[in-house]
Amino acid sequence: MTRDMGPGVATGASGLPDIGVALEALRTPFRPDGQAFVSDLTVGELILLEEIGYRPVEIVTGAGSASWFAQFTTAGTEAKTWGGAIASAIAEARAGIASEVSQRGADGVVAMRLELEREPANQLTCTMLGTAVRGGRNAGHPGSAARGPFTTTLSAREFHMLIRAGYRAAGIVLGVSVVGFSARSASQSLGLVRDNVELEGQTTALYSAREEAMEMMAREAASLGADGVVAVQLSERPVNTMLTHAVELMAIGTAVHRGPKGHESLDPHLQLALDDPAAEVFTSG
Amino acid sequence: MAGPGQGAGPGQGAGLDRGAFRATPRVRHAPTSDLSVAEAAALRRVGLSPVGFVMGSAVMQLASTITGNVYGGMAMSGGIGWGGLLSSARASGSYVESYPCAHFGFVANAEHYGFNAENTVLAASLFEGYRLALSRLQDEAVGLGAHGVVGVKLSFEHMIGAAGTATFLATGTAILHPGSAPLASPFLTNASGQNFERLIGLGYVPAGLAMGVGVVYVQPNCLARGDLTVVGPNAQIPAAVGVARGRARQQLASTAHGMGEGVVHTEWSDRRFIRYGESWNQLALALGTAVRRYKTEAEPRPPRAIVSLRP
Amino acid sequence: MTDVPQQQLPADALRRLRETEEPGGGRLFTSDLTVNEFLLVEEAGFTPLGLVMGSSIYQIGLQTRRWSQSTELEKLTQAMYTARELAMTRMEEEADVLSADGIVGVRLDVNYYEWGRSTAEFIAVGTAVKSKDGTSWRNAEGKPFTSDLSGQDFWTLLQAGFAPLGLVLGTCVYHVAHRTLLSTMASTGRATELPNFTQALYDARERAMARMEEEAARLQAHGIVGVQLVEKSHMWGSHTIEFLAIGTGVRSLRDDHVISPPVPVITMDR
Repeated sequence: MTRDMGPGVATGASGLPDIGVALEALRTPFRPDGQAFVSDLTVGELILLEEIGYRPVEIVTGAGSASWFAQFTTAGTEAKTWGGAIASAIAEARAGIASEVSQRGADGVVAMRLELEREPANQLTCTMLGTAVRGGRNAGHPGSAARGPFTTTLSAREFHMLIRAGYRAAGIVLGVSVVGFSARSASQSLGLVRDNVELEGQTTALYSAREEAMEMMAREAASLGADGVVAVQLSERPVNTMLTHAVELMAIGTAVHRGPKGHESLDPHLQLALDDPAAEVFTSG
Repeated sequence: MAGPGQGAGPGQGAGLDRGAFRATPRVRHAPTSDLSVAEAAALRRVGLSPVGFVMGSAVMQLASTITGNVYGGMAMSGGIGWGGLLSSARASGSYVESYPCAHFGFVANAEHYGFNAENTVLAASLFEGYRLALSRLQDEAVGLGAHGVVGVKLSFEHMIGAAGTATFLATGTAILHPGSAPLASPFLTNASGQNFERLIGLGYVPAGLAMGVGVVYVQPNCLARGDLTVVGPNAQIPAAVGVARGRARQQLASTAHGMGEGVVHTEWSDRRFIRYGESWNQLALALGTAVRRYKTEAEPRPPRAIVSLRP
Repeated sequence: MTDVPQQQLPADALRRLRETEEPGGGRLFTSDLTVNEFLLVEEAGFTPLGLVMGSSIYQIGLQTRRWSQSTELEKLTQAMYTARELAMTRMEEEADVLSADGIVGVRLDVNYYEWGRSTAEFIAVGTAVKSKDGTSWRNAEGKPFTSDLSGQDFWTLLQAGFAPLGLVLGTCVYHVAHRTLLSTMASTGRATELPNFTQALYDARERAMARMEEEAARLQAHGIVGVQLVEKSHMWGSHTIEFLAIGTGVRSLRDDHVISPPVPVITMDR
């Protein structure tokens, strides 16, 4: 996004910055007038948040960890412990970071880092980290009564655009499910299945598991009174267990709420970027 | 405690004879740098010239709280002797918490018992290693007559073949504003050239680096170890991550104290580090730039939204 | 290519789609569009209704073929086509249940799992949208339009006076002959074109593109945008390659396709 302060030319806040003045400021001793903020945001992100009324407070963190053990017996059976363990690790991390936000009198976290570490194979540790912010136009976001501070993995830029277009963000919503498959179905083992055909049993099982993950996520969003979920990331991970093969499906997105005036136009302009990445004349692979 | 890049002054961080490193006197070459073309252009637009690629390094013997010995000589997990370990952590007043076996009924097996203990000595070794590397980097910048160093990066490597030894390296590009008097203490920032241009353009100047390190030693109990016979959420790992990060955050704020209005561009790194069998040290490392306002912001206007016709 | 027969959507899928309808007539939408794409779709005059997807787990076997002949493997071509069509048709039916006008941001993926041999899951995922002004945007076959264009490209296409009709694809699985030992030895040490191979690759690509164009013609498209040609061996070894040509068929919305002149810029980012 170019900060356009004049006709067609993008510059700093008021023309070319005076580096000499900036360096002079370093020669005078600094007199703090209040608590210093600590953030992992860039200055550009700070400005974007400031424009929608938010100021940074401090870096906040949360973590959760859980392990599981496969418990399926037949193909297509869902392993509830597994999905439950993942959901509980993420929920605990979220509760932890939300409580740090509340303790500091802040309203939520933007541009949050969410990491899932699986080590050893059956243990999931979820860690969250971001800058808590206060003030701002996301007040009255869906679920504020039910869930307290909002946490979002949306970048400051995306959050800024959403708020300017009249939406409110509630935060991360999640759904997860696991489905187990035996290595081959009975008819496959007997060689009764021809080539080049659909495997209906497995297709249906995977559909069910995927729908379950999506439904769980949508239910969470609905419970917050949200209008929808954007930036959904659907992930499918094959997981090997001692007993059988399994697929873990996760759907994570950000729940949003349309403002009373509906979508407020951002009036996007077309830009023709004259940047071309270095062209590869000979491509291989 | 002196923060990174601050301290007793140029050349005093180390007590090393810098002259001994140069076989021949320094010759004026064209400035080297690791800047990209766009980055160099961004710096020139605000009136800065890159004067050279600078670095600082230090090789440290890493110490560990636990028995007070160099960790390379430590016994592997299981046979450490928690009595001494826990009592020394408790005596120093730092964080320690035990996690008994999670199985129903008592399982008299050393591997089922766990604890977290803050490893303050290892954290201090790491902080000192980075601090030394940064102060030497700053010395090089002073030697070049620079006003600051941008794009500071830190790295760490275990030395192969020497247990418990590690190399700390800090690199960056020194910059100069021709026409301004030199600064006694050139500023350091982890911001890139473009981010530096935005910083200056939006009314902020980097005042220095802020850094924090937190380490918690984790000896996992059966549940945190991922033992297949007991499942569910464990509190041990989240607590270790939380304390390590909390300590790093605290130190980040304290090194920034008195430098500026806030810390930006903080880069975080967490990982499991220096493992022994099933145990490890949970490390959290944060590096950011303390900034000051040098001019009040003009009336802000919402930036224009664009869609780029990209190839 | 034969058409895929009407598919019965799995019960779970129908349930999810119907459940999202709330008593007041509102609906909870879900979408894998990024925030920028979501906002641009709204700017373009459409509302996202929900994430729609279709999948099919298919067993793809290796057809027997003559080692020394370069030829299309028609059964495999049919299988790759059918598996994708099954996935896409189910996705389109989910969009139908939502009364959508179209689907944007379609992703076609093939996931390999380790069950049995040569089993793969074909997935089609996209966001169903409905036009805010109530006009119908369905294509000549009365189905919601599909397109793999991103939110940004979709907005730009509409600005330029075009509308998407449907994702069009053509595929061809080709076996490239192995060279005989004698001919390999004969040409050792000399730089030479291998006309059989060259011809084989030309053939395969042409067939894939021709089939894609046929699909576009059936939709009465004025053109195809965003064409990609993807060549993959999947799990068949290096002499068997699938050539997939995929693009979005479009129709003209108005006679002129003039857009307001964009501002030329150079970004100073790395």
